[in-house]
Amino acid sequence: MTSTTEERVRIAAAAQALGEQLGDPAWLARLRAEAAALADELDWPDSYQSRPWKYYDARSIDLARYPVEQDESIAVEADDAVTVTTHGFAEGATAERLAQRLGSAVAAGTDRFTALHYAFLREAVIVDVPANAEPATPVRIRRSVSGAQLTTPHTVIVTGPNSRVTVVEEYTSDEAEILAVPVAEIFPGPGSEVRYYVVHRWGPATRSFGYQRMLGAERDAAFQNLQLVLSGSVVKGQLESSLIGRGTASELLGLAYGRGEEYVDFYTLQDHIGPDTRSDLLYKAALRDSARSVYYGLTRVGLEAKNADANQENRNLLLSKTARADSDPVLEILTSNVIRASHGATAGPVDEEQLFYLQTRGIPRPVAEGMLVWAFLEDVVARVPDAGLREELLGLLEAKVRGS
Amino acid sequence: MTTAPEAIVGEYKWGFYDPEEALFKANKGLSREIVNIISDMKGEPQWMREFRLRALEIFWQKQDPPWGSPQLKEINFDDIHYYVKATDRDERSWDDVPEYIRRTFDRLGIPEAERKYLAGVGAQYDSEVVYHNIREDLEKQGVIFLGTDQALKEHEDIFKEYFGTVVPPADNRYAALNSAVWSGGSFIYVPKGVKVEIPLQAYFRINTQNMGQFERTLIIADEGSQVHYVEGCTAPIYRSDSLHSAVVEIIVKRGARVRYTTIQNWSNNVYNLVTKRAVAYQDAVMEWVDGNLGSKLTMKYPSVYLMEPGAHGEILSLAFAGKGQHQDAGGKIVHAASNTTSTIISKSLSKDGGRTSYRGLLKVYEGCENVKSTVRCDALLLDEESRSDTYPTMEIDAPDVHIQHEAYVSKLGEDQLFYLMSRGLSEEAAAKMIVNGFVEPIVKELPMEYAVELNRLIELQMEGAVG
Repeated sequence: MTSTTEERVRIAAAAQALGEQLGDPAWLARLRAEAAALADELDWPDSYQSRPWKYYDARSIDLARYPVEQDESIAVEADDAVTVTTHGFAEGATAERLAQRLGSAVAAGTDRFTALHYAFLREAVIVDVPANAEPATPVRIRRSVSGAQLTTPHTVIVTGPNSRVTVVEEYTSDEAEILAVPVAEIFPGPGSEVRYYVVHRWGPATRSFGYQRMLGAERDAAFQNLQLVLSGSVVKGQLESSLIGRGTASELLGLAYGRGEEYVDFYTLQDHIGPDTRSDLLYKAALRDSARSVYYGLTRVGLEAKNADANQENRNLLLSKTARADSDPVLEILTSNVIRASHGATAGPVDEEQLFYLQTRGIPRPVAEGMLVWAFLEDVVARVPDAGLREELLGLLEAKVRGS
Repeated sequence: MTTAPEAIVGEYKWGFYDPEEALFKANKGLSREIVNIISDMKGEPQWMREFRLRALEIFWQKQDPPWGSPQLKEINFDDIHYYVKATDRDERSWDDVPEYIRRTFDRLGIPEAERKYLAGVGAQYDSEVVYHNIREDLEKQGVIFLGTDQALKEHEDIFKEYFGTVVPPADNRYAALNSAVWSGGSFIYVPKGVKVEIPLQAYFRINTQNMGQFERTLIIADEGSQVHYVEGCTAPIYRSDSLHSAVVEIIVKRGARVRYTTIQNWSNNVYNLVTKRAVAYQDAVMEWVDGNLGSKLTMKYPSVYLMEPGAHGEILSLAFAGKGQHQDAGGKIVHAASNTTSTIISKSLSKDGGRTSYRGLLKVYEGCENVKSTVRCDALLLDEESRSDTYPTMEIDAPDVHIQHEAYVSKLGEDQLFYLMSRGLSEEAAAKMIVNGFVEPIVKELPMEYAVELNRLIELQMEGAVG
C-alpha cells in the first residue's frame, strides 16, 4: 500500500512549505526533502514482514487527520554547566554542531514514521554537556502539545569526556487526536554517564511512535534510560543501544501501568558490537481493564563483542480478565566468548501465596493486592540512583495507580 | 533409470548408498501431472486426489515465512524427484523385502532392534513404506500400525475423519507441499484403554539423489490409551541436496498419553522442513522428545494444542549444530482451555560455526484460567565461531496464568574444564563429560537403546571439539 498520489503531493509540498517557513539552512532543507521523498516511497511497517510491528497495524493511520501545523510548547530548565538550545535551526555555531549529529543515530529511512519525523521536523532540543561537567540538577525538558496534529519532538544529547548528566523529558498532550513521532539521539563521550528518563503522559487520544538510539561509539560510557508510561492511547517505542566502544554499558528500564484500552508496545535492541560491553534491561507492565502490553526485545552479541555481558527481563502483571501481554525476548549470540547472555519473561496475576501471607498478617485482601502491585512497580523506579528524582517519579506513578 | 549418484565418503557413518534400482521414479519438478501420477499409482479415492490438487494450488500461492532461514531460497523445487518408488509392496516379513533394501536396514540395525525391544517397526525407503509389522498380541487388541497409504486403503473411514484436521494444507508452505505429494509415513490407531508398553518405531531412509521425501504420519490415541512412537532417519551424502518435508498429526483423546520421539540424523545435505502438531483433549498428555543432530537446515517446531481441561503438553528439544548446519528447532504450546499445563525444555549445542536457534510459541487464549507453563532454553557454545539464538514468543491473553521463561547462553566453561582436567581427564574427555551433563535432562527421557545411540551421535559430533 504505497501512498496515494494525492498524499504524495501533499507530503512533499507540505514539507517544503514548512522548510521555507522555518528558513531551513541548506543541510536541513536537503535532509527534509530526502525524508519527504522516503515518506512517500515507504509503506507503513507491515505486521507480517516486520517483527516489531507484529501486534500493531499502522495501516489504520490516516495521515490526512493530522495537520502539520503545530501547537507545541517547550520548557527547558538546566544548570549553568550545560548548554541547552532549542532550535528553530537558525544558522550558527550550534546549528553546525547539530548538522553533524541530527539524523545520524536515528536515520530518516528507518521506516515511514522516522521519514515523516524528519520531513516535518520543527525544532530540536540539544543538550550539550562539556568535558568533565557534572551539573548539580537534572536537565528538564517539558513538551506539551495541544490540538489535532502530527508532532515531531526531537532531542539530542551530546556529552563530553568524563561528564555526567541526567535529563528528564516529559511529554504531555491534550484530548485532541494527536500523532506523535518523538526521536531521541544520544551520543555519550568517553567515560561519560548519561541518565535519560522519559515520562509519557499523553492525552487519551494521542498515539505516540517513538524512536531512541544511544550510539555508544566511545569507550567506557554508561547509559541509563527509563521509559515511564503513564497514559496515552498508544505508546509504542523502538529503542536501541549500540554498544561499540570498549567497556560501554547500557541499562534500559521500562515501566507501564495500563488502564482502559491503553496499548503499550516496546521494541528494544541491546546491540553488543565492541568488546567488554554490558547491557541490562528490565521492562515491567501492570495491566488493568483491557490494557495491553507488547514487548519484543533483541539482545545481539556480535562476533567482535568479546566478554559481553547481557541480561534482559520482561515481567507482566495481569490484573483483569481482559488484560493481555505479549512477550518475546530474543537472544542472538554469534560468539561463545560471552560472560553471560540471559533473559527471562513472566506473566501472571498477583501471587496467591504472597497475598495469603499478607492476609494472615491481618491485611485485607484488596490492600494486600495493592501493596504487591506497588512493590512490583517500585522495583523498576528503585534503579534510579538519585533519591529526589526517584521520589518524584514514584509520585507520578502513585497518582496514576490511585486513579484507577 | 539408474544414474550414478555423486556420493561423498566421509565420517558420517550412514552415508553409504545403494545403486538406484527404483521401480518408478517421477521426473523432476512439480506439476498437477506429477500429483495425478502419484494418486493414480496409489489407486487413491477421488477425495484424496482432490485434496492433493487443492494443496498444490495452496503451495504455489504460499510464501516462505519472513523469519525463515535465507537458505530456504536455495531450494530448487524444479530439481527434485517428488516420488520415487523402490518396490510396490509393503511387506510384513523382512524376507520379502527386496534384498538391497533389506541390506540397508540391516546395516542400520533395524531388524535386530525389532527383535530385541520394539513392539512394531515400519521402514520407509524413499517415497514408499517397504515394511510394517506389529506384534500379534497388540494387533489382537485392535492396535493398527500400518503404512499411511495402506491405512487409507484398509481403514478409509477412520482415516478420513482425522486426516488433515490437525495440520490443514494451508498451515504453511511446506505443509501444503506435503499435502500435495505425500507418500508413506505411519498410521497408528490405539483403541480405548489399550496401553502399548514398549515403543513402536519407524525408520526413514532417503536413498535417491535430489529426492524429496514427504511422509505423512497420523496417530490416533483413543480414550485412556497409551503409545510411544519413535522415528529415526538417515540418508547418503550426495553433492546435491535433498528435501524432507513431513507432516505429523496426532490426536490424543481423553485420558490418553502419547510420546513421540525423534532422533533426526539426516546427512548434511538434507533440508528438513517438518510440521508436527498434536491436539490433546481432557486429561490427555502429549510429549514430544525431539533430537536434531543431522541435516543441513532443520526448521521444525513440534506443537501441542491443549484443547480441554487437564491436558498437559511437554516438549523436550535437543539440537546439535556442527559445521555448515543450522538447527532452527523449538516448540509451540497453545493453551486453549482452563486448567492446562505445559513445559518446554530446550538444549542447544553449537560447534564449528554451526547455528542453533530455539524458536517457540507459548499462547494462552482469552478465558483460560489456571494455566501454568514453564519454558527453559539453555544453549552451550563450544567455540567462538558458533552461534545460538533464542526466539521464544509468548502471547498471553488471560490473567490467571503462571508463565515463566528463562534462557541462558554460555560457553564451555574454562573453570569446569580445568577442574575435570585437574582430576586427570584429557581435555577432550572433559569436554565430552560437560556436554553429556548438559544434555542429560533430555537423554534420560529416552528408552535406553536410544539414549545410548544419542550419546554416541553426540560423541561423534564432538570428535575434535577441543584443541
